[in-house]
Amino acid sequence: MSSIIRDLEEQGRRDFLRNFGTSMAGISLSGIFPGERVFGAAPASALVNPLAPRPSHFPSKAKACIYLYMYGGPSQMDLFDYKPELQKNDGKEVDMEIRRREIKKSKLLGTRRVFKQHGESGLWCSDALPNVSGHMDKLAVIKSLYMDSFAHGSANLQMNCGRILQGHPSLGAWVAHGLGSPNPDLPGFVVMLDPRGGPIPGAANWASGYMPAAYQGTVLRSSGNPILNLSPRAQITHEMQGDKIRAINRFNKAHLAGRESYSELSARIASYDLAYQLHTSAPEALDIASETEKTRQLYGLDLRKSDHALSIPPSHFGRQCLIARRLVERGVRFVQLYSGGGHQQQNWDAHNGVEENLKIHCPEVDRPIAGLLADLEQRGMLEETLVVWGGEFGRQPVWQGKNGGRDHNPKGFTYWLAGGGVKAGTSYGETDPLGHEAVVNRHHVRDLHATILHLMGLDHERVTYPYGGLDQKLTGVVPAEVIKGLLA
Amino acid sequence: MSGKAHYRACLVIALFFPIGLQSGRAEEKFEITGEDRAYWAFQDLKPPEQSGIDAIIDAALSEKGLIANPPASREQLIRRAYFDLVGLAPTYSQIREFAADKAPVAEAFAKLVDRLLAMPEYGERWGRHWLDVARYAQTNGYERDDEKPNAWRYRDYVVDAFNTDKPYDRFILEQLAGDELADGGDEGLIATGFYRLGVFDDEPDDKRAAEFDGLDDMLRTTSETFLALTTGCARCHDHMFDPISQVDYYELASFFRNVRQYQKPQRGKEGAVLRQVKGGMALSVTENGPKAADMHLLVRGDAGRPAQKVTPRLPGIFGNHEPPILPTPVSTGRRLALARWIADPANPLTARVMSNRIWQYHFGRGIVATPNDFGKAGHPVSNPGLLDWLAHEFIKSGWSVKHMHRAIMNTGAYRRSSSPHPGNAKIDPDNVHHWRGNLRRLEAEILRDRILQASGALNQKRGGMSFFPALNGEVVAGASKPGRGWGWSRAGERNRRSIYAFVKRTMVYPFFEIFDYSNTEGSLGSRPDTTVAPQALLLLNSELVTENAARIAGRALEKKDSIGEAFRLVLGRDPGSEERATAEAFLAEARQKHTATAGQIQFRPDFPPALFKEYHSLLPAERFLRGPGEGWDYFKGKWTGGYEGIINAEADWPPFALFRPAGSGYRLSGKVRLEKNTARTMILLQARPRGQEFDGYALLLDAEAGSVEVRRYSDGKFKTLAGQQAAIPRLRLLDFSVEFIKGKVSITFNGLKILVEDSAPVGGGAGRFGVSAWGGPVSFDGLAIESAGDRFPIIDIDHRLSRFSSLAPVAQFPPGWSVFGGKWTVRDNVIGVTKEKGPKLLWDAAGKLAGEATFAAEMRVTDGDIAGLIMNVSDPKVGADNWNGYEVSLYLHEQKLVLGSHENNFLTLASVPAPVTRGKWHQIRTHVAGERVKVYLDGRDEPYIDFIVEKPLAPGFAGLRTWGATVEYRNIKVESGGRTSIFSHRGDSPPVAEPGGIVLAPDPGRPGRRAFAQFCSLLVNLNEFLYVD
Repeated sequence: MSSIIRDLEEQGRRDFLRNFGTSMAGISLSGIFPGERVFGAAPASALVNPLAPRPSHFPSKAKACIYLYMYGGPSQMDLFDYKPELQKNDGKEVDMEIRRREIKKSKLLGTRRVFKQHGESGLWCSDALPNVSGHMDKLAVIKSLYMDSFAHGSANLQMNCGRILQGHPSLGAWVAHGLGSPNPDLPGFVVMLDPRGGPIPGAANWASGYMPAAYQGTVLRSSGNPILNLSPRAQITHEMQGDKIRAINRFNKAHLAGRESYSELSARIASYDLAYQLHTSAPEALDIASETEKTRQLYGLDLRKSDHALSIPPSHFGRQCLIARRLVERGVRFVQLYSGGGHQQQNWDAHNGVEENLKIHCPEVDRPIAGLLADLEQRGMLEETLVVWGGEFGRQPVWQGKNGGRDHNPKGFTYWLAGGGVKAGTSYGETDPLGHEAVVNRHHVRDLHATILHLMGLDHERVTYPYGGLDQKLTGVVPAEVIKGLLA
Repeated sequence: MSGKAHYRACLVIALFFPIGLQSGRAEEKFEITGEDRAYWAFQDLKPPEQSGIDAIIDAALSEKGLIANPPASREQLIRRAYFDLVGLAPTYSQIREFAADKAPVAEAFAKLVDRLLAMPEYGERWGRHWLDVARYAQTNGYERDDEKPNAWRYRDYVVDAFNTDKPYDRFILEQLAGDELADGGDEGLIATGFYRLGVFDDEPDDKRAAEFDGLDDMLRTTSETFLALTTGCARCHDHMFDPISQVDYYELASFFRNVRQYQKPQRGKEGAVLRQVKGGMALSVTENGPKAADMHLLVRGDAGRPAQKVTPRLPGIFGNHEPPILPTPVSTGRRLALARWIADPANPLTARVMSNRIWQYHFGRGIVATPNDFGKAGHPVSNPGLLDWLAHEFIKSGWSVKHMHRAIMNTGAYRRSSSPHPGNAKIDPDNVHHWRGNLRRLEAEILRDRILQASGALNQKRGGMSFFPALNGEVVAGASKPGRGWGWSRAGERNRRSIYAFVKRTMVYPFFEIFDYSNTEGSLGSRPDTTVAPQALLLLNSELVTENAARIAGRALEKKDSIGEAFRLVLGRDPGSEERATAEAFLAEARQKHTATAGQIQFRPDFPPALFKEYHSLLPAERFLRGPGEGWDYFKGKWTGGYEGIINAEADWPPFALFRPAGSGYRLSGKVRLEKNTARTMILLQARPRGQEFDGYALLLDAEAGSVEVRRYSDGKFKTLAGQQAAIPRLRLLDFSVEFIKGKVSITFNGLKILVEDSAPVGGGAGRFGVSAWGGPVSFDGLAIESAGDRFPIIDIDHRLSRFSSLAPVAQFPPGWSVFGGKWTVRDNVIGVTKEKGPKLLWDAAGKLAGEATFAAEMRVTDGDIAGLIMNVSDPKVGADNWNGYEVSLYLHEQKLVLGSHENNFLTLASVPAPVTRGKWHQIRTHVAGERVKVYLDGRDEPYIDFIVEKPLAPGFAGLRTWGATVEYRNIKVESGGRTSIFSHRGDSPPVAEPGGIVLAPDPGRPGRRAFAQFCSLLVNLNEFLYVD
C-alpha cells in the first residue's frame, strides 16, 4: 500500500520513539509553560498525532484555503454568468430538465440584475455584488461546473466530500490528512457556521468519514466558547487549570516509568500541553479587538442589517471573514465559512423568489468578501491563500413558483477562485446560452477538488486512505483532472 | 431560441435513456489466476498440526529469537480481564480479593473469566464491537436524518446473542435470513434489522441509482462483515486486488435483489421495513414475494446502463456455483441460501474472520490487522497457523464465542505483562508475535462508563429505548434544523451505559466522536486510536467529567481518608506516599485559590440562536442559561419566528434566571464581569415570571453598543426608561447596585448614577432579582442583598426562604447551615441565638440523618426557658412549628427533658424530670435507630428517655431550635451513615483530633469541596485511568 497512513502505521511507533518520544516527554514534564511548541518540536507519527505537518507533494503557492460556501446554491445567472440570450428570451416557454429526468415546460426567467464588465479583465459581475465586482481582476471564474445531484443533502455531500453518498471524508479533512497542520496550537480545519443553522446534512459536511476523527472540521464559534469544552467551568481560572495539568503531568511521569516504549503515553502528555495552549491561542485568534477600525469597516462590521426579516447583519459574515484571515495568518490550513443556514430563503436556496433571495443574502456577504480579498492583498497574504467561492450547485434559468424563484441546477454553475496559484482575471468555461448546462470546458466538481488540492500542493491521486479494499481518494474512482485553465 | 433549448433537453434524454441495452459484458477480461487460487484466505481449513495457542505462539517466538514476558501482576490481570470482557473496572475490593486469592494464577484467572462471561455486562461490551461491524446507527443520515424506528431492538438482539452465547453460525443465519428461517421467530425478524441499518437518502438525486446504492450497502456490509471480502469496488469495475469480478458483484447482489427497498416507515404500521414482533414493531426485512425481478450487470455501475442478465451465484473464486435456493411463500429464499453458504464450516473465510475479530478485541490488533479486508489490499496475516487453529477451534466448539474467550484468555500469551524488553523491541517493536501484552487505551464508551462507574452514577438498566446524552448548544447549532431528531432524557436515563445512547448519524455525541467512536456510515473493522488535544479538553472541561468528578468527590469526602478513597474509586488502588504528598499539595493550592473565587457565580448562555421548535420545548430551561443550580429558577425567554419549524432567540428577551426568594425595598449590589464574547447582560429587578418571560425592571449592559439602559418589561413589551452611552469594558469586575423603592429605580454602575422614576411602576410588593447573558457568560462576585443595614451574600442565603424579609445575618456561617428565622451568630465554634419564637438553624452539610444516627451538642441558656436539638428535619420553613421532625429540648422552667415530634403540630412523646440549670452548659445526645429514640444528658450512661415511636420519621437534617430563649451551643457533632461531622466554623481548618484519638474529617467548606472535585477530575485525566496494561 502506498498511502501515507499505511507507511506511518508500519513505522510509526518506532520513529516516534526515536525522533520524538524522549525529547517531548522532557519538554512537557519539565514545565508546560510559555511558548513550548510540543507538536512543532519534531515530527510525530500519524498514528499518535495525525496532524503532524507533512510535506506537500510539490511546491505550491497556496498554504491555506478559505472556502466561502454559499449554502443553498447561489444563482449563477444573477451574479457572474451573464446570459444575454436568456435576457432576450425572458418569459418564453422551453422544455427543461428540472430534476433528474424530469423535463418540464417552463418559462425562462431573465435576471433583474444589471450586469457590467469590470476591471482590466472585463469579467462580468452583476450589481447584486457591488463590492465584490471591484475585485474581478483577482478572480478566476469557472462557469462550467456540473455535479451529480439535484438535491441539497447529496449535493452538499458531493461538494464537500466528493460523493453523493454519505460517509466520505470532506475536502478539508483530506487537506488536513495530506498536509497536517503547521500550527500545533490551533485545529487544522476550521468551520464557521451561519447563526441561522448549519447546512444539511450537518456535520457530515465537514466529517472525516472513515479517517480518524482528528481530521474532521472543528466548528469554531465567533461568540461564546469558541471550541467545544475549551474553557474550564466557572471558578476555574487559567492558572488553576495550569496547576491541574502540572499535577496530571507529575502523576503521568510516574506512570510512564517502565512504559516509555508506549509512545502514545508521551503523546497524551503532550496533548495536555496543547490543550492548555489552545485555551489562550484559540480565543486570541478569534479576538478581533486588536483590529483597527479601518479593517473592521473593510469587512463591513459597521454595516446594519437589511430590513428583510430573514436577513442578518453583514457584520456576522464579515467577522467570520476577518477571523478566517487571522486563522490563516496563524497557520490554519483550511477554513470553511458558511453563508446561509436553516431553510430556503434563509440560505441561497431561491425557490421562493430569486430577487428576494439576492436582497437577503448578497448584502450579507458582499462587503465582507470584498474586504477579505482586499485585506489579504494588502497584507501580501493573497499569494499564499486560496480563496474559493461557491455553493452546492447553481440555479435554473426558468421560473419557479409565483415570486420568480429558481430551482436547483447541478448541470451548470459557477465557482470562482482567487489567490495563491490562481490565474487572476480569468473567465473559464461556458454554460449554454440560457445558463442551464455547462457546455464549453465542462468540468465535474471532482476536477474542482483535484484543482484545489493541486493548488495546495497535493496530487489528488496520491492523497489516499485505505478503506473498503481500496485506497480511497477525494476524487473517487472516475478519473479527475486538474483544471489547467484556472492555474497561473 | 426556445428551439435550441428544446434541443438541449433532447440531448439530455438521450444521455439518460440509452436506446436498447448497450453491448454485453464488463469491459475488460477478468481471470482468476493460479496465484489467486493459492491465496491463503481461500484455502480450506485443515485440522491444525500444532497443539494450542501457546504452542503456536511460543514456536514463533523462539524462531524469531524473542523472549516471552513474564505474567502480568494479578492486579493488572483482573483489570485487563474486566475491561476486555465487560468494559468496566473491577472495584478496589474485587482487585484486593483477586490479588489475595491463594489459588495458582491460571486457576484463579480461569474462574474470573468464567464469572465475567456470565455477567450481563459482557453482552453490552461485546455487542458494541459487533455494532461497529454492522454499521449500527439509529437514523438514516442525509438531509432529514430521520430516525429508523426501533433500531434498538437490533441492538438488544445483538447484546442478548452474545450473552446467551448464540452459536455464531446461527447468528449469521438470523441476521441475513432470519425471516426465511422456518424457526426464525421474532428474533429472526429483529436480526434482519441488520440490512436496515445503513444510510438512506430519502430524497435521492436519482431514484433508479438509489435502488442500487441500497443493494450495494447490503452486499458490501455482508461481505465485509462475515467474509472480510471487499466487494464494493467491483460495482463499477473488476476488483483491482482481489479475484472478484464485476460479474461476481452483480451475481452476489442478486441474492438481495428482491429485498424491498428501504422506505420511510410509518410508525406503528407494518411495511417494507417494519414488522410486528412481540411487544411492538421491529426494523426488519421483507421481500417482494417469492419471485425476484431480473438483475443485470450495470456498465460502470451506472443504473442507466444495464447489460447482461445475471442470477444469484457465488463468486468464481468460490466455484461460481448456484447454491440451493428454496423459495418461501413470501420470499425468494436467496438470502437464506447465501447465509447457509457463509455459515457453512467449509467456508474458508467465515470462521477465520470471526476468530480474527475476537482476537483483535482481546489483543488490540488482529492476526490480520485489517479485520474487514482479508484480501491483498489488507494487511498480511501475521501467523496463519494461529489463525487456522483458532478458526478450527471455533467451529469445533459449535461456533461458541464464549469458548473462544476462554481458549484465548486462559493462555500464557494473554496473561503476559506489557512491560518493555529492549532485545525484543529491536526484533518485534509492534509485538506482532505476542511476546508481551499490549497497553491499550479505553474506547470512548468504556471511558464514559468508567467515569460514571467511579462516581456511582452508572445506571445499569439494560436494553430498550435509547437515551439522549445532553448536548451543548454549540453542538446542536451545527444541524440545519438545530435539535431536530434529538431528545432530552432524564438524569438517571442519561447515566446509562454508552451502548444505550442514541446514535444519530449527523450528530454523534462529541465525547464519543472525539475518542474515535465507530464511524456509523459503513462497516468498521477496527477503530483508529488517536491522541489529540480535543480529547484532553473533554476530559478536563466537559460537563460529563465535571459533574461526575463532583460526585466522586462527594463519595470520597464521606471517608476519613478522602484522598485514599478517591484513588480507590477512580484507579482501584491505594495511593503511594509520594502520590499523597502530590495530592495534598495540589489540594492545598487549589483550596486557597478556590477561596479567592468562592464568592463568584457565573451564568453562561448555552443555546444556539436558532432551534427546532420541538427540541426547544423538550429542553429544560436551565439548559438555555447555565448557572448555579440551587436557589435559581430558569426561564427560556422569548423565541420567535417559526419559519420551517425553526425559532430564534430574541436578544431583548433572552433566557434568564431568577433567584428564588423574593423581597421588596432591598438593594442588590456586587461586581459584574462580562467575559470575552459577551455581547450584553441584563440584571433583572423586581421581576415576576410570566410564562417563560418576566415582568419587572432590567438594567441592560450592552457591551457591543457601549450603552447602559434601564427598561421596564410588562405585558410582553418593554420600554426604555433611561439610557446612555457608556463604555463597558469586558473581563473586568465592575461595581454596580440596583434598587427599587416605590416606583423609583436607582442604579449605580461603574461610577455612573441613574435614577428613574417610573410613572407606571410594575411589581409593587415583593419581587425577585435575576440575570441574563447574551453571546457569552457573565460573572458576579460578591453579589449581595442589602436590607435594613445588613448585607447578605447571595451564595449564603438560604434559597428555601420565600422572602428576603426573613433574612438573618447568616453570612458568618460556613456554607452548609440554613437559617429559618431568628438572629443567629457564630464565634469560636460557639453558635448563639437571641430570644425569639422558634428560630431554627439547620446543619444540612452534616447530611441527612438516615438509619442509625447520633446527634449531640452542648447548650447554655442565659435567658428564657426552652432550647434543644431537632432531628430528621424535613420540609422546614420559617415559623414556630413549620417543619417535620423530632425535637429534644431542655425545659428549664419545668426542670424537664422533653422529646416531641413535629408534623405540622407539636406532639409530646416523652417528658422526664432532669436537673437542668440556667447559665450552665448541658450536653444532650440523641440516638435514633428506626423507631427507637434514646436521649442522654450530661454524659450519663443510662438514657433519660428510651422511646419507641409508632411510625419512624423520614430521614432528614439535624439542627438547633429554641423557644423564647437566649442560648449558646457548642461541640456539635453528628454521626450518621458511617460518617462523623463535627461543627467547626473555621471550615478549612485541619482535621480535629477528638479526645479519643480518632481523626475526623470536618466539612471542607465550599472551597475545599471544589478543590477536591478538581482533584477527582484530575484523576480521570491520568494515563493510568485511560490505559490498561
